Amino acid sequence: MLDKRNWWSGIFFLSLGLFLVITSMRLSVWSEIGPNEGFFPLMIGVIIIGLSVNLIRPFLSAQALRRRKIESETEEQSATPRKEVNVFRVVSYALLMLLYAVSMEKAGFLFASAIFLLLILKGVERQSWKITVLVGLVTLITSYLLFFDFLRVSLPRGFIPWF
Amino acid sequence: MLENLLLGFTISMSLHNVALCFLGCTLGTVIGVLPGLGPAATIAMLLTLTYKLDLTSAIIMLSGIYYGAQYGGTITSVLLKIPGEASTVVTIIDGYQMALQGKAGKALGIAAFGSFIAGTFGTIGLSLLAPPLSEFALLFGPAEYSALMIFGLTLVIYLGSRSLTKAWLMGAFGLALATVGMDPATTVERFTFGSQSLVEGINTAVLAMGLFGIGEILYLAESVEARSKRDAIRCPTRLRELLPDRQDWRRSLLPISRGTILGFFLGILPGGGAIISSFASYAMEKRLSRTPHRFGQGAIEGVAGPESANNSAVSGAFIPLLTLGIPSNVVMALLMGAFMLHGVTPGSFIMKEHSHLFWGVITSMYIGNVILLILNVPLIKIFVKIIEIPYALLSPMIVLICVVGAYSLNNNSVDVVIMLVFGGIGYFMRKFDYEPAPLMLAFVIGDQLEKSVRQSLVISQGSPMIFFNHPISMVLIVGALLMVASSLLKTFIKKRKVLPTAGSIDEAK
Repeated sequence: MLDKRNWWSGIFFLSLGLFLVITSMRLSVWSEIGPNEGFFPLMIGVIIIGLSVNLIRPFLSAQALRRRKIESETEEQSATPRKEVNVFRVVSYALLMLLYAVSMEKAGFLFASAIFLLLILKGVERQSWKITVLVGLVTLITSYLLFFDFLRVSLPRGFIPWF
Repeated sequence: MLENLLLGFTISMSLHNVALCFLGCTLGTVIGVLPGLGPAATIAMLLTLTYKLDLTSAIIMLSGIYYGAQYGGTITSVLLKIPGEASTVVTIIDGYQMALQGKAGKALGIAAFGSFIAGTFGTIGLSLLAPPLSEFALLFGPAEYSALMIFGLTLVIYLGSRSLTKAWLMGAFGLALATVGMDPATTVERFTFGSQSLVEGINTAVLAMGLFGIGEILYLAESVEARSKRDAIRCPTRLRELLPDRQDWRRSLLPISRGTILGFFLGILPGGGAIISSFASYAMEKRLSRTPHRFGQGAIEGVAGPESANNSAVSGAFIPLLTLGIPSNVVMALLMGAFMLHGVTPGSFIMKEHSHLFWGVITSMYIGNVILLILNVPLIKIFVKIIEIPYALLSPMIVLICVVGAYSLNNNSVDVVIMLVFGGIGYFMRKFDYEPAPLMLAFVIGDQLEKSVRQSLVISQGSPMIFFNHPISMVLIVGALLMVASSLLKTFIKKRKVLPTAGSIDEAK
């Protein structure tokens, strides 16, 4: 059975390969003494193009086109139940992690972490206030003692005045 | 030899040195658990401490940090799918699957015992074979390194369990990512898109944490079924049931033995030999197994071999440092700095002129391995409780640890953002059925591969025959080509058996 994911990922890698080849050609590939900075990415780009064509090729043959038509007809008839996905949760995690990363330097590690934990535990994971506050506090206190005190990792302090 | 070992033990078994070894191992384990922090950064911070200690004691403590970190990295690889060290990436493949089956204790247990056995034999190998093996490292020039890295790349075949094309695509993608940054020879920036943060390239820890740690968090955030299965995991409560049983030992003894030998010899080679050793051990075990389909599904051999290899490689890595004064990785370079701060330059004379230092450090490794075993095995009962924490509570903590790990590398939140980008890539890789292990291997060796290939072609004035004119290089390249050819042939034969004929498609209509 032809997997549609291979088609889309093949297109992605073909584009990546072409990007590598075009960008490498703008660098210097070879000099009098030997390969330059463009040589290796160019080789890799060519390899990626070859491999992605190999991935896409089964979709392009006439036999494959006939097979796909049969498969899509069979799929409609069998109607396999789709796996349950929680789109809200994954999108929320992605956005909140990004927000956490970009705000950390200005807001400080502890403050940004506190907001992140609050929003994830209460807003996304729908935990009770008791669990949210307990887990949040334990995590923050442990992080402070471990990273700031014990390991002396340099983390942004932000605008909290008593640091 | 026996006299030297006894001399070494009298030095390393003093209360002062045992305490420092214990401190180093404990600190190393904690550091190894926290991804991104790494033994190199910790050793660098503690280097000034060596002024207050005598050199032997200082090296004993700093070495303890190094091999303690190897085991610490294993803990997070197995329990949380976050590789603490680059060399523990391979442990994730089967170790994390074992954790999902409630066998985290067995994975951690076999890793601890395997590391102890490998470390012990590695130490013996170091003491017996240091001088002749140091000559072995000198035989490797650019052509040999290129061939070794190319051979290493063929291991991607064994790291992926599904499509060969996809495994190679991941490998090629990893090599492409390794080219990001400033070219060391010509100082031209490649694929940095004007970002100063990318000029030094992508950090291995950032890539690993993103692909594995953040990618897993996003995947488990999306999949209701996977999240439910994860939350249903329960581990045995008694230590005896937690640890490897007779069958596990029967399966693991040969992988431990093979991993020990492989890791020891690869660890001698400067530039990534220790990291390749864990990948190579995994590939070897999968190749030799009668049931290779179990790999990737929680095969204990997939943990035993690589963990032994990476621990044995630590012993091997000391050889070029102590005998030739050549550090084989960043940690060894820092240890060399510690030597030089005390006016001692490591090299071939160190065995004779500073025998107490040489044998003291070697015997302390054995003590360190015993300490790690005593320290970590009883703690397995506590470690495995982490897997039973509901993922809704655990995942934000994992994010926090990864964020700290990424930020602490360069005190730059851009590294955190890059890690999240790779997290997204890791999530989509999972959705599109691509495995990250081949990408990691290729990324790790990509830099060395490019350097060696370019140096070789400069030496040979552009002729690729240089790789075939050197015997070691030729053997490795021919071996790599044979491996690729044999797996292509297997795939071709399998496809011919599976592919329907034109007639059967028409019948299906």
